[in-house]
Amino acid sequence: MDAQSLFEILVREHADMLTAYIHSAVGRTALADDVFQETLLTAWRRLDVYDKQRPFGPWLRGIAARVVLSLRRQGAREIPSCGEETLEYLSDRFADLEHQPGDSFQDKLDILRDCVEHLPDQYRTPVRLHYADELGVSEMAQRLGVAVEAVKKRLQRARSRLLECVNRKLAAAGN
Amino acid sequence: MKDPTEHSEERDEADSRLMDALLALVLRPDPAGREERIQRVMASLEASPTPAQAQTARSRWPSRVPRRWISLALAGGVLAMIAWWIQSASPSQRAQAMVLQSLAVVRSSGCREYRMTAVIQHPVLGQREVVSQLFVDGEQDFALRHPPIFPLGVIWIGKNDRQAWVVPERGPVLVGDQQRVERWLADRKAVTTPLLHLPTVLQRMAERYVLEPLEDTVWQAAGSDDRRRCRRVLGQLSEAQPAAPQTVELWADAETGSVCRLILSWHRAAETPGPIQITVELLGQPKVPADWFEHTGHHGPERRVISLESDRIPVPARAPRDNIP
Repeated sequence: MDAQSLFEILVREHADMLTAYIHSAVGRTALADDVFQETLLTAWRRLDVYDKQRPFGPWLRGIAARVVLSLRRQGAREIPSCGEETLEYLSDRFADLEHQPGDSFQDKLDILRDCVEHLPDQYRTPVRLHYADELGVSEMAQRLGVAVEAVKKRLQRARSRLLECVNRKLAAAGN
Repeated sequence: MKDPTEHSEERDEADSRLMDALLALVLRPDPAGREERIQRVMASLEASPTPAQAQTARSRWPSRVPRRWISLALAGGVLAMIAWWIQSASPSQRAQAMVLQSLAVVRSSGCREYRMTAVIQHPVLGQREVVSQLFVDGEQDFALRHPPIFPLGVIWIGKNDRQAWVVPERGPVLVGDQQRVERWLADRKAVTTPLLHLPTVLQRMAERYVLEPLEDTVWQAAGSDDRRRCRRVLGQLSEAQPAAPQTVELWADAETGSVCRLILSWHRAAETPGPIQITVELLGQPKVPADWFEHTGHHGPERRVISLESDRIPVPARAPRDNIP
């Protein structure tokens, strides 16, 4: 098996995790694809220094964080305020998720699926409309018969509740 | 997930983006976009030099194949790579590669029929043999014909990519997710043999067993002239796992990797009930009706179908204490 085949194995396994990490850092923007690409090309070039006894995910996130910081220094305007500490904090959160049971990163997110299922209707409906059905806030406002601002608030509150729920479940799993 | 001790606005916004990213991943997976991103990276690698030490680093990869490799092996396109690996790797790696090859073949091939012979230890009756027919098609679909059990009669148990199902000879047909169906069966002790899902058995063999290649042998299909040279791999359970067989022996066609025989063995004390040995033997590649892996393929249109996911789980016929056929 050549190095490229080995690397593709690792890329495929970590693609979802890496995408989500980059989106957490820079938002779900077109720039995220460039960060994804640059991160993996850097990882490929540096594969000879990767310690294969250590997990690949944190190493990839470390590279992604440096790519994000470098882009910020170069003045990329789309990148939200996200310093080194915050990137490390996000990486730790992904590490906690990676410790969840499951073969793939998608499997490990079952705790979030469960939290979504247990959201009250007033929050679960906008979450599903926005993320599963890809509706924008205006369409959602029409569909739900409420103001656009109310939709935004509900979405924001839903995300906060889900974050609390996931944190609780992770803490319980950790204990 | 560590709870931050200090909440800054920057961190709150990062949390919000984190949840946004995870929700998008969970509720709107984008396999096409994912594949495109991966392909773009892999295409760029073609133009990049191979890392100087990556080739030599190969030898430092652990001999047991990590789970992540297996998932890729199954993602397709790596059968040739595995075949090469079988020829060139160390004995344990070669054994791993053989199992992975069989796993990839099982997951990607068409319908195959197997005879499943289970030797079950019963506390009162001693050892009994139960012979079932197992049909497997690709990664998801299977159908098992279990011999008659009082009072349900012959039972067909199956699963496809949407649901699992149970079709007893008498009584309602049950459908639901696999967990619910397995629980239903377990609660009623209706089926004495474990439900063997070949891809899962092979995947666990690759992940949880210490593997060694055995000498090649010639295998002949029961009642036919079909003779094949088979590679053999013996797996010994690497750590205690409740209910898992202590050894699994795979006989795989040396040319194609398809499973010809699989022998699962449990070391069980004489008074402990449960399976002692299960042998799965290839019978052939039958042409089956299109609905063979649907419950409708095994009962008439008049039968009542009940979803185990509804609250109206039927009260089953009482399972006999002694349900060995």
